[in-house]
Amino acid sequence: MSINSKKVQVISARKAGMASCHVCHLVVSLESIKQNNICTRCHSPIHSRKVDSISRTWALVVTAIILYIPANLYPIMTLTKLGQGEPNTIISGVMHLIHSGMWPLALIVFVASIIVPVGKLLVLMYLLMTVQNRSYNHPKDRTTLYRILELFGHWSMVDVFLVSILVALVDLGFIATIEPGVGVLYFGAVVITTLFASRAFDPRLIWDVIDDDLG
Amino acid sequence: MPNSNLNPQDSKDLLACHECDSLYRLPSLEGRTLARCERCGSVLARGDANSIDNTLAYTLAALVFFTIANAYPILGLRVAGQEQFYTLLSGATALAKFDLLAVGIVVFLTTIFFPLLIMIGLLYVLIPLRTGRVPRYFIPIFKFTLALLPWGMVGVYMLGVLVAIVKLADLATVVPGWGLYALFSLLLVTVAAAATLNPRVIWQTSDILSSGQKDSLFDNNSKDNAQYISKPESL
Repeated sequence: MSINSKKVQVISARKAGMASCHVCHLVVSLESIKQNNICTRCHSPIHSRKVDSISRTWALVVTAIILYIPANLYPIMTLTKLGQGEPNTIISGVMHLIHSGMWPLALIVFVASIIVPVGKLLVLMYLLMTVQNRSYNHPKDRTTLYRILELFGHWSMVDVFLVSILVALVDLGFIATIEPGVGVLYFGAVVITTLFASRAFDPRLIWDVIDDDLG
Repeated sequence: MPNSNLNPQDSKDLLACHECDSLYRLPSLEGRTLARCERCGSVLARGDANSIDNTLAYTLAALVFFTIANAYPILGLRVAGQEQFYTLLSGATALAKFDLLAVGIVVFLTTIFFPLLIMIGLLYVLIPLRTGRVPRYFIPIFKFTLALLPWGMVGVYMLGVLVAIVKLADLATVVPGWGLYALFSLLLVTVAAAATLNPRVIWQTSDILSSGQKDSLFDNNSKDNAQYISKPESL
């Protein structure tokens, strides 16, 4: 309903019997590539929409949620200072930074390791559910949400990189060593799974409902 | 309303929004003009002035900084007379020592191997295009390079280094190495290369070169068809 009032006169490529190549964005008519369904320019397979987008995205989202549990339960690194070990999970690492007064740092780690992955999974679930319910509401805002996901998703990797840097750098024998924990393995898996999840989602599905009903 | 005036022959200047599938006929874009989708607001295409030259220059610079960033230590730690340095590579291999080979491989791929492949891929494609010929295996190599782009994470790594510096400041004296400055420069030119990279122009250039209409390329004076339109004409 909101879209009609704005009077945006567009026709979708699918309605025009065309599809754009996922790789080189060439618009080809589906009629002309009937035989083999590959792009006439870059020879990639042509699909009007990403294949099985909804079920693949759901599968990856659920996988990421499951992996996120051990990622938070197991320590991501252990700092051993003068013989005393101190394992840190993602959350206790953030708390530790707050207690030692490093607010900006705590904020960076908190945003990158908790807000971004959790927010990403919540937004993807919201997008999936609204598409499955054939929602008409706020298609433009939902597309913007998706665009933001694609833009910031990979910044969660900062925690994985941080652990790798600290482990390589802080290797000072008895004075101080940092050892990685298995939590970083699960967290890295979460980040990579969510990256694949957001790429599996096809934002054009948001608009298909509206295009279908416009006839 | 299926459009009767759409035929495959003139589909080269058609563009479908990759976020909402709206179909447009793209006007020629002057300078740094952006064409945005009227319906969902995503960027459809950018102006193409000197895009290949710019990306080429930034990528060459990136390769130089990448070499320095790998050859010299990034950070050193000085505590009680001991000094410990680490390089980009040792950051990845350190994880392998602790049975976390998988994480070490991911770090190696996203911070060293993929960025290197992306740079080589871009140079392999852009240098011949700039000199007016299409390189061998252009299509598979350019496709592969485009697919790798999101997996090069130099910027995120740089943030990790900054966090590490602040975090370690109370434990020991942190000594910046030459690699750190090179890494920061690498980040800047990588961002610039990504911002100027315009795959649409590269595909079009290869199309034109393959069809033998070489003269219409790199002629910055042919501005007769330039229109100052920032909104594409919808079909």
